[in-house]
Amino acid sequence: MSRALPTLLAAAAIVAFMACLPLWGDDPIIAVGINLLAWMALSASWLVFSGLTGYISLGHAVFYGIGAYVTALLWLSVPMWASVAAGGVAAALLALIAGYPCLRVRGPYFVMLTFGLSQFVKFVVIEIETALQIGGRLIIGAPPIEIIYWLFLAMATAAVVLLAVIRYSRFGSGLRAIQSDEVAAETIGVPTVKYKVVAFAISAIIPGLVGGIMLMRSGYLEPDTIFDPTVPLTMICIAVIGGGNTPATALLGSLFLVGLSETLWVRFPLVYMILLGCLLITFVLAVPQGLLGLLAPLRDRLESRGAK
Amino acid sequence: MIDVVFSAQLALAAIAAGAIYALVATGLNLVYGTLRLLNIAHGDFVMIGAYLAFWVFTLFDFGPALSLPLSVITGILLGLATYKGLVSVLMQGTAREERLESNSLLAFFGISIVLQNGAALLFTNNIRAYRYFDQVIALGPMSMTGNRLLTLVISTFLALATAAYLRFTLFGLATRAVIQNRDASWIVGIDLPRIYLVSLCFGFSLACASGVLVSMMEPISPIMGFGYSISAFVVIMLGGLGNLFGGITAAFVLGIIETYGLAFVGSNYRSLLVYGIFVLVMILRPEGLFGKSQATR
Amino acid sequence: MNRREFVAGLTVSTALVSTSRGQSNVVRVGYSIGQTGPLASSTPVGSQAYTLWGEQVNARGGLEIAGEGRKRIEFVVYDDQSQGNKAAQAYERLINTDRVDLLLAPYASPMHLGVLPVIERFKRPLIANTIGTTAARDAHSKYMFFTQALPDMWGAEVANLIKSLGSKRVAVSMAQSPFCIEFRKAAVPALQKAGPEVVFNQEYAADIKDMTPLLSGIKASNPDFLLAITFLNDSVPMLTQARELGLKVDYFFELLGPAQPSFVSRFGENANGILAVGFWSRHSKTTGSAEFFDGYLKRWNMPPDDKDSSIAYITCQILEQAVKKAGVDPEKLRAELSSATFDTMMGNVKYNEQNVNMGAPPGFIQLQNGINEVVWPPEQASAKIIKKPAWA
Repeated sequence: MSRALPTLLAAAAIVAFMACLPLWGDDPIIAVGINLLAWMALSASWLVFSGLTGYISLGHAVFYGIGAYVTALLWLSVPMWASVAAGGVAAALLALIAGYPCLRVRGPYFVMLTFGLSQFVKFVVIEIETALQIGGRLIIGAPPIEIIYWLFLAMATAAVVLLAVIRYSRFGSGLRAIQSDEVAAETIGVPTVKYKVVAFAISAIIPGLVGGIMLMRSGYLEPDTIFDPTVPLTMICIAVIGGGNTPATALLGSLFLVGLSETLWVRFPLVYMILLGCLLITFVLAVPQGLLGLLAPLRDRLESRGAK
Repeated sequence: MIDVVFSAQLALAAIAAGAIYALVATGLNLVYGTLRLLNIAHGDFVMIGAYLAFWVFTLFDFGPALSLPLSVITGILLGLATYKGLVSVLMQGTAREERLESNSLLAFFGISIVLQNGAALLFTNNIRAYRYFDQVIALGPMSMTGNRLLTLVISTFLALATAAYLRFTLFGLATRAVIQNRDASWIVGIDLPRIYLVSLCFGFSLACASGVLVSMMEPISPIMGFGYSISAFVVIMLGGLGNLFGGITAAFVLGIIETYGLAFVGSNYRSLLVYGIFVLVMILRPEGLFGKSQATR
Repeated sequence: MNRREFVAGLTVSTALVSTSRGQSNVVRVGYSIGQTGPLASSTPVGSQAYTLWGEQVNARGGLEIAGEGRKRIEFVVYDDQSQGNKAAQAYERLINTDRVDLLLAPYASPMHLGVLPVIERFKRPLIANTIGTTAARDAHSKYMFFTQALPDMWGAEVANLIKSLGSKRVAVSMAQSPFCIEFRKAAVPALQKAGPEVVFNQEYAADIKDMTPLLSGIKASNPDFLLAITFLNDSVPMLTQARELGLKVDYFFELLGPAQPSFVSRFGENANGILAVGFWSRHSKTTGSAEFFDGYLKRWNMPPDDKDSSIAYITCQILEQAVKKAGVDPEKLRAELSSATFDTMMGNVKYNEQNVNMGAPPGFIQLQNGINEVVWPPEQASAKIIKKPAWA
C-alpha cells in the first residue's frame, strides 16, 4: 500500500488543483478544463470494459446518448440531479439488457454489433420523438459553467477511481484473464459471462451521467446529434495514444488529445484533424505501447532512484 | 398495396439498391478476407471515386466511360500506397489476430480522417452534383432513370466478375485459399505478400468505381463516405466476413429487405428494420447468414 | 500547413498583437461554423456569404460605426465541429479571449442554442440565421434575434399557399428530422382547417435511399399537391424516383433541398416547378440583392444557396445597419435591434417582443428555368407560380 501512497498523494493534489481552476480561470479556460475532464471520464469508463476485457466497444455512444435523452425527458419534472442520475441508471440498464445477448459475440463482430446497437437505439429515439411531434428539446435553467465544471471533475475522479479499483481487484484480474484467453479463463473458473456483463454495465454508468451533464452545457438536444459515432472512436484514440489500460492511460491520452485539440482547433481545424489522423496511424503502427509505454523507462528510472 | 408488393417496379428498385451494396461490400470483403483489416475508410475511397467522376465531367465533359477506368487506376495506386506504407508494418508488427483487427480499425480510422479533411481542404466542403444520363428509360411496366440503370448493370457486372475471378482464375483460387486459411496457404507456397497487394488494389478499385457510379445519383461531399462504410460492414457481416459470394447475396437480401420491408411496415421504420435485423443476426448467428460456424461462445 | 493557413495565422497573430480597439482602425467580427463534423457540407454556403460581406464592406472603405467612423472588418473564425458545446466554447473564447467587437451567428439550431446561454451570460447581441426550431421562442432570449421564420410559421403559411392555389387533395410525406417534424405539426392541422383534404400522410427515416413504396402510395392517393417535407439529402431521391414513377401533380413542394445550387446541377429542367421554403431570389429587386448575387458568383465561382447563403448575408446587412446607428456597444446595439426596422434582401425585418422577425409573412420559392423565384407572399414575388411542367 505504501507504494501506492505517492501516486495517491499526487492524484489528490491534481484533483485539488483542478477543483480550484474555476476560481482563477475565466470561461474559456474552464471550457478547456471541461473538455479534458469529460474525455478523462469517458475514456476511463471505456477502459473499465474494453481496456480490461479486450472487447472493443464502438457503441459507447449509445450510453452517452441515452443518458442525455433521459435527462432531457425528465428535465424540470424532477430535480436536476435526479434527471442526470436517471440518465446514468438508464444507460446501465441498457447495458445490462443488451449485454447478455451482445457479449456472446467477439472480435470484429462485437465491434460492429455495438455500433449497430447504438444506431438502432438512435432510430428508436428518433421514432419516439417523431411520434411525439417533437423536433428538439430545449434545456433551460441549466446551472452555470462553474457548477458544470465541478460536476465533470467529480465524474472524471469517479471514473479514474473506478478504473483503478477494478483493475487492481480480483474482478479486474478476471477481466484481464478474459482478454488473454477467454476459454482458458472459463476453464479455471472465471465466470466470464457474468464478469463481462457486469463490466459492461459499470462502464456505461459514467458515460450516461456525462451525457446528461454535457447536455446542460449544449442546451439543446436533437436525436441525431447525441448518438455521435465519433465519441467512442475518440475514446479508442485516447486509449491507443495513452497506451495500456490503467488510469494513467486515460490521463495521458486525454491530456495529449485535448492539448493538441485546443492548440490546433483554435486556428487550423482542418490541419488539426489531418494531424490527428496521422498521429493515430503512427501510434497504431509505431508506438503500440502508447505514451505510457514511452514514458515507462522514465518512470523506472525515477523509481530506481527513489529506491537508492 | 398488394399491387405495389408484386409490382415489377419494386423488384427493380430492390435490385438497384442491392447492386450498389454488392459492389461496395465486395471490395471491403476482399480486403478483409485476405488481410483481416477492418477498413473503416472504405467509404472514403468511394468518395474519392465520386470526386474523380465529378471533376472529369465538369472539366473535360466525359462521363463514366472515362472516369471508371481512371477510378480503377486510382484504386490501384491507393492500394499500392496503403500496402507499402501501412499494411506491411501492420502485418509484421502484431502477434495476435484480435489485436490486428482492432489496430487496423484505428489505423484506417486515421486514414479516413485524413482523406475526409484532405478532400475538404482541396475541394471545399460545398456539395457538388452533375447531371448525366438521366433520361427515364421504360422497360415494359418498369421505368428507371438511365444512370440508376447503368449503375445497376455495371455494379452487378463488376460484382459477378469479381466472383468469377475468384472462382475460375488461378490467382483467384489462391486468394480464396488465403481467405480460407492463411497459414495453410503460406505453407503450401502461395505468395502471400503478392496476394495481399493484389487484393488491396482490387478492393480499393472496386470502391473507387462504386464512387464513380453513385456520383451520378447522390450529392458529392467530403463526408459522404461514412454511410457507405457502415452499410458495407453491415452487408459483409450479414453475409459472413470474408465470404465474397455470401456478401453479394447479403447485399441483395438487404436491398430486398429495404424495399419490400418498407412496403409492408411503412417507410418510417426503414432504419429500424435494417439495424434491427443486423443486430439480431449478429447476436444469433455472428458468422453471418452464409459464414462457417465459428466457436464464439 | 499550406500558405493560405500560414498567412491566415500570421494575420490573426498580428491582429492579436494590436491593443485596444479604440486605437486600431479594425473592427473584429467573430463567429463559429462547422468546418468539420456531420454538417460540414452544409455550412460553407453560410461562411462564404459572411466572407463576401466582409470583403464588400472593406472595399467600400470599412464598416461604418456610429461615433467612430469607418473601420476595416477582420474576421475571427472557429470550427465548432457541428457540436453545440463546441460552439459554446468558441463564443466564450471570442468574447473573453479574443475580445471581438461583434458577433455573427453559427449554422443550424444546435449551434445557435448552444451559444445562447453564452451570449445571455455575457450580454452580447447575436442575430440568428439558420435556427429552425420553435424552441427558439421558449428560450425567452433577450440577446438573440431570430431572423428566419420558425418552422411552425412556415407550416401555417403553406396552408395559405395551398388554399390560394385551389388544390383539393394534398399528399404529405416527411423526413424524420426536427425542422420537418415541427413544420408538419403546424402544416397538417392548418391544412385541415383551410379546406383541402390530406389524402396521404407518411414519414420516413431521413437516410432513406429508396422511396418506391412511399411514392407508389403517394401516386395511388391521387393528389394534386405533393407536400414532400424533405430535409436536404432526401430531396434528391424524392425527385428522381417521383420522375421514374411518372408522378403527375399540379404542384410539387420539397421543403429543404431545392435552394441548394447542387439541386439544379443534378436535375436541370426537371427541377422546374419545384416549390420550397425561401424568401429571396436573384431576381428580387430588394436592397443589396444584385450586389450579393453578382459578388457571390464572382467570388466563389458558384451561385449562392438561395436560402442559407442569403439569410447569412441578410443578418450581415442587419448588423451593418444597426451598427451604423448604434455603434458596437452591446446594450445600445441590442436596443437598436429590438426597435428598428431594417431594409434587407428579404424586405423589411422587424423583431417583435419575442425577438422573432415579423417583417413579412414566411415565403416560398419556386424553380423556374433553373432559377429560384420568390412566389410567395404575392407582394414580394419575383415571378408568378406555375404548375409543375411535364417531366423531361
